[in-house]
Amino acid sequence: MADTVLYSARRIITMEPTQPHATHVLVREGRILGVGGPEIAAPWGTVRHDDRFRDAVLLPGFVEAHSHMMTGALWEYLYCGNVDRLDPDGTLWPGVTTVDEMIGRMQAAIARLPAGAPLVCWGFDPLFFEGDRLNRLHLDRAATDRPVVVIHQSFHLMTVNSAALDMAGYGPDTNAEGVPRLPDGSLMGELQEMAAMFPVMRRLNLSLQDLSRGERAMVQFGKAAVQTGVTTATDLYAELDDTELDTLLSVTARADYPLRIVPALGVIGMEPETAVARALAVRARSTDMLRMGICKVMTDGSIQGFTARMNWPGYLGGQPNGIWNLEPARLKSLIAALHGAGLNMQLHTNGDEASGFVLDAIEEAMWTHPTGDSRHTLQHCQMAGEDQFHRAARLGVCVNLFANHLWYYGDAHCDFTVGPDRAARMNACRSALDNGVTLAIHSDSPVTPLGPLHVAWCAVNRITPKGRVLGANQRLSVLEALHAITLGAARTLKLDRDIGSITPGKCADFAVLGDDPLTRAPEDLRDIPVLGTVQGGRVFVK
Amino acid sequence: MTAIPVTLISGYLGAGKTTVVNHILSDQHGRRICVLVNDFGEIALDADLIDNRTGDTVALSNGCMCCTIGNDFYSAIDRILRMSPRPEHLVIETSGVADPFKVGQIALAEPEMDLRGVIVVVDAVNFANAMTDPFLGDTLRNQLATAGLVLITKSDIASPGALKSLRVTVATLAPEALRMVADHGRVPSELLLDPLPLRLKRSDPHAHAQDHDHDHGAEYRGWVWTGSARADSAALDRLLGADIAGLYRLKGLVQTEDGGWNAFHRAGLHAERRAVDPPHGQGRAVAVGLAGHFDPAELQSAWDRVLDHG
Ligand SMILES: [Zn+2]
Repeated sequence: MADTVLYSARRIITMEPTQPHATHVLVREGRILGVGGPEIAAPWGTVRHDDRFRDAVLLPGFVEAHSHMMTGALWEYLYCGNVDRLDPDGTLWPGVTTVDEMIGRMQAAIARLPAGAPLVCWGFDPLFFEGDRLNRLHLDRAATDRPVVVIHQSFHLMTVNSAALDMAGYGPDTNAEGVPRLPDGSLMGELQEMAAMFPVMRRLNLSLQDLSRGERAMVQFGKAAVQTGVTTATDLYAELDDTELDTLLSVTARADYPLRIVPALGVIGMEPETAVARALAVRARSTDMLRMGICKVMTDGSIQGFTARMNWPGYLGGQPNGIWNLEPARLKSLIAALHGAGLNMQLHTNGDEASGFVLDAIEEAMWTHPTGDSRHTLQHCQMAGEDQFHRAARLGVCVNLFANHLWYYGDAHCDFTVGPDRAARMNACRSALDNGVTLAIHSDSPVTPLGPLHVAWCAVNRITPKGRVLGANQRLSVLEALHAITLGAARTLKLDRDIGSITPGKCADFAVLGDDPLTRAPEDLRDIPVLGTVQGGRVFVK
Repeated sequence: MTAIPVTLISGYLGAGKTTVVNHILSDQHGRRICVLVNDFGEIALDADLIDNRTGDTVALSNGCMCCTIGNDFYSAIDRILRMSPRPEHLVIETSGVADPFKVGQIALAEPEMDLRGVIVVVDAVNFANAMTDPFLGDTLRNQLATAGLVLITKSDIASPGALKSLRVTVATLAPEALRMVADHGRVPSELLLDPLPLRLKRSDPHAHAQDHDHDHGAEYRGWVWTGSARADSAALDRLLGADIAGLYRLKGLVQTEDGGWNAFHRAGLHAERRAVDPPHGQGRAVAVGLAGHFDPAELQSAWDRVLDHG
């Protein structure tokens, strides 16, 4: 007879209308057997009582529907961000906010490295850093005898020391965009965008793609998930070649692996028939802990990089419109083929021209292959207005909005990219819900830190570091935001049959919180401690 | 290590980039060229030209190779830079929506690469239509603005009106670029790979009065010959000095009646011929001349008279 456990909690927030709140949940074979008060155990025979969550609050396990495998592996590099963060192994890394603090941390790390070995750092965000813009002269204080590389939080920039510039062959004659200079005419050490970073990265064998591969990346991703209450996470652009797939299958099958992974097959660069065949082939190898079959389609770039495809009036500074990832005609045939094969697509669209184009393409595909429930999802979809949300709802298209952007880039959007009026309707969560669109919200970790409670906090408060409130009318209630990181997110992945709420029959996946988000002030949402998770009935709480 | 020369070939879907790439790969230019393409699917290479094929690379019997970008453009570039021996020239076929200005930055930033030119392919039949596509028009405008050489394809099947309006558009959007008519992609590869005026600047919109007769960028036509026939040296010298309407450049490598090899070159009024070591491949001659003046057919018959058919 299988073990049946009755957990008690201070409160259980279920996301189910029949019974929104409970105090007890009964678990058997990794699934939820009952939800309610202490009486629910009675019909089910012998049960074991477990009161370890007596003072905790249980929510459905958080679903991060847009994150990347690189999340945990990045900690192989030295963290130099401004906020205090825990690494996947539980070590606290206090934020650094001055050059002196950063150099001190680098020197300590260099002392542990072999002679001449490069030092690679990450997490640095110049927007949140005091003093002069970081340059090579600062980093030369850490080392002159080896390359020092600081990857910015955005992953679009890096700052390097003089030794790294020399190694890459950069010098007075360098004449490329994205290699700025200091007032004295010498190179600054900042390298903007991939083309400028490439000479350094290739000489250091620094590949962020490779970093996401292999067992260690998967294990660290799992640990990072437990710390943030996540029990299901996407790896939203996966190559899924045979080696990677075998490793994923074996790691996620381990008895102590805490995370259900949903890799989205990256299909850019594939012919439509190849993409369909590959997606169907990997889908057939899915397990409960590794759900495959969804496809990631890229369409445009990013708003802060001025590469997103925007409708009129475009960018604030008159920058040219952004860049398509693929010819619009090819995108259409790719979308038609995947839709026609019954595959779910997660479509990266940042600008409103891109999201409008994708809605056109999906509608066209639907005339050929009518469907009631394809649940294609617009990822980021940051600029969509009422018209596009209304249309998405009619077409059965979901959105996964980038709520974290409101905090991390909100001021930049007001001041530099689109201006305050359009910034106020960015990531318009309220419009999505009011138009009847299935809504998820995300971190795009590691682009912004993994942490669904922070994402929900952004959607609830819409506040920026400078204290602006971006579009007060677009704010969500705490419960709506919690829905978007649980059941809403599960729905966008078509996994809500199994996860996303606490109700009999679903997986026993819980986020274990130290306080009650429905009674704490909405502005404190991100400060609520996460104690760990329960995943498939297995407890991952220290 | 010396930097590898790099040429970008840009242009929208259907403009004819692939034909140009195919021609570069199969032409008997004697250079070991590596072409980086998005997808092998469209590169219909002659089967007996293919030496061997591994995952992302096809090696050709003429020493050239064709690589696919695969998952990541930058790792593909890194792979090529690590090749030993390194190809003599790298040609990058960009996607139809790529901005050559952005793609070109990699070859400006990386010291082991040397950007030689940006070629933008437009086709005379569909270009006007493509320019009115709301999702694409600005992309094509940006591509043209970076061109050092604009290759015009399908001019043989375009209506005279379409061709005329294409010339006006190109002259307006890429006023300083050279233009070349390249029906069926047949342009001497040398002309494509030679250094071109670099136009990787966005900051200099070229102001023009409406009435200003627009022709900074001259338009050219190419001619090419490859073969093993020997040339009569006296006749060759006569050709190098002859009056050939619109000829801008003529150069080549050919075996003469005594069995020796000669390189020859003519640019404007200056011409020379000298003995050289035998090349690996066949004889070859290429020419380029001003469109409207230079007639490749006429040069071909003049060349036929130089060849010793005895
Ligand atoms: Zn992402």
